[in-house]
Amino acid sequence: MNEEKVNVMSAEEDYSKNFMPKVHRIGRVTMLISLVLVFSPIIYYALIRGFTAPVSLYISAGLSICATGIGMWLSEPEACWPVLGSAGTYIAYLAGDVSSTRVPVAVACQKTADTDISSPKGQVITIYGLVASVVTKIIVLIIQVAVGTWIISKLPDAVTASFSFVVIGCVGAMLIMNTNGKAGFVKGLAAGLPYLVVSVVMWLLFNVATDWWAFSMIACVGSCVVLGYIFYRRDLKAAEAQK
Amino acid sequence: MIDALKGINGGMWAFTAVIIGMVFVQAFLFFGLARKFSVKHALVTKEEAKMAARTGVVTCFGATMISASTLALIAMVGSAITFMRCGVIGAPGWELMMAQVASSAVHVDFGTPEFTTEILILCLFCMVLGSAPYFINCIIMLKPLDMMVEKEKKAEKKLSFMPYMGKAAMRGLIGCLAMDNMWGNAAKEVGFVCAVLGGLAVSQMAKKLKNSLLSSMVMPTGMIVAMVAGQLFATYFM
Repeated sequence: MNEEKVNVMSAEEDYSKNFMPKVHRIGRVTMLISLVLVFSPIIYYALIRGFTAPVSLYISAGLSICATGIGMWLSEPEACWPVLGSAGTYIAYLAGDVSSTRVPVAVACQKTADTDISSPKGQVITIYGLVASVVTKIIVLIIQVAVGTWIISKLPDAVTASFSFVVIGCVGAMLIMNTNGKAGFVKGLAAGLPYLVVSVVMWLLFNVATDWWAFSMIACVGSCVVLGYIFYRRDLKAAEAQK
Repeated sequence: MIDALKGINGGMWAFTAVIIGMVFVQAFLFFGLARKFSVKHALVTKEEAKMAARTGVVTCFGATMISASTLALIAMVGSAITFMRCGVIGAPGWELMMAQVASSAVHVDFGTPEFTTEILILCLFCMVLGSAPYFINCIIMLKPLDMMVEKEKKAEKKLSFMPYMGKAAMRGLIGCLAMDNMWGNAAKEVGFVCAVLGGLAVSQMAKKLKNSLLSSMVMPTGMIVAMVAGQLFATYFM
């Protein structure tokens, strides 16, 4: 009986009732286990094997790190979630390199498949791309750890230095993928420009005018979401007036 | 091998293997779930799945292949800890910063005789502490965010806010990442502009030829053009 019910469910319904709860179950359990695992070498070496520095040093270094990281800990996952989706955010925050690798991968996958994260298809495509990026990153890391120093010594300096431009290249490509849609580049850019201007202004406000850089990502994304809400209300009013 | 790792290197590799294994377990659990769901509802074609995987591989490969921060970390805390920290949640630059916070808290330089195993474990503690709270944030916050989306969907309005929010957030992130990466660096600004132009050329060509393979090459093109243009500018004009 239950199985019959599931079979007649639409993708949207199945997505809300079965897929997303499973995403959170997998995500929460794996994150919780990982939280214990990442501290396990410290517990083992400091408490069991006795390689313990004075507690005061742990407190002093820990406080410095809390002061540096608290803004980002509280805001970054929420800033990336509207692009990565829940499964993508769990994957990205376990595997790391969120803004330099996972966000560009998610954007590229969604744009290539002409979908977005709010649809079931967008979620599936994003998960595929991110899983491929996780496997790739581990392989690249193995290579780096095994022969990284040797490879670097063989490459010309100019080639090694040019890799520092990869991330900005990704961001440039993301901009094109986001603006050059079905409506064309000029219309896409015109639609995206208000958001980009708001984001840049907020970035300058948090990084140049003040020293609140830890909150700059959530400020940029949050202010754009507010702007999106204003546009949404405008379009909703127009749609209801047509009715 | 750095002196502080002597005697604990083997054990550290064992911990690394277990922790990295967890990353794979999570990735494959999500992959299995997505695949099953996609097959059941015929959501994604084989071609689209291949395209997504290829995009993931190419983008990640370019972004992580040569990382000076990773190599610096290897020299400072050894291969096992570098692998452990960069394979799980950490980005090399952030981990490097956390290791430096630890060493400056104890006023001990990396590679000196004073950099003992005790100090190395303190460094590891700082690196873990620098990113572990993200786990807690995800555990607590993501489900309520999705519940909020569901509530919004059920409101049955003529228009949904979700596509607006997705686009707005993506554009906000692009603006923020662009500024983060190029502010105050002329070569990176040149790289960005050239990546935009190169990406636009490939994207227009893909549209004209209706070639999906070409449209998946926008990201790699952007990376390569930025590397070449940025490095040429840095070499000849800076």
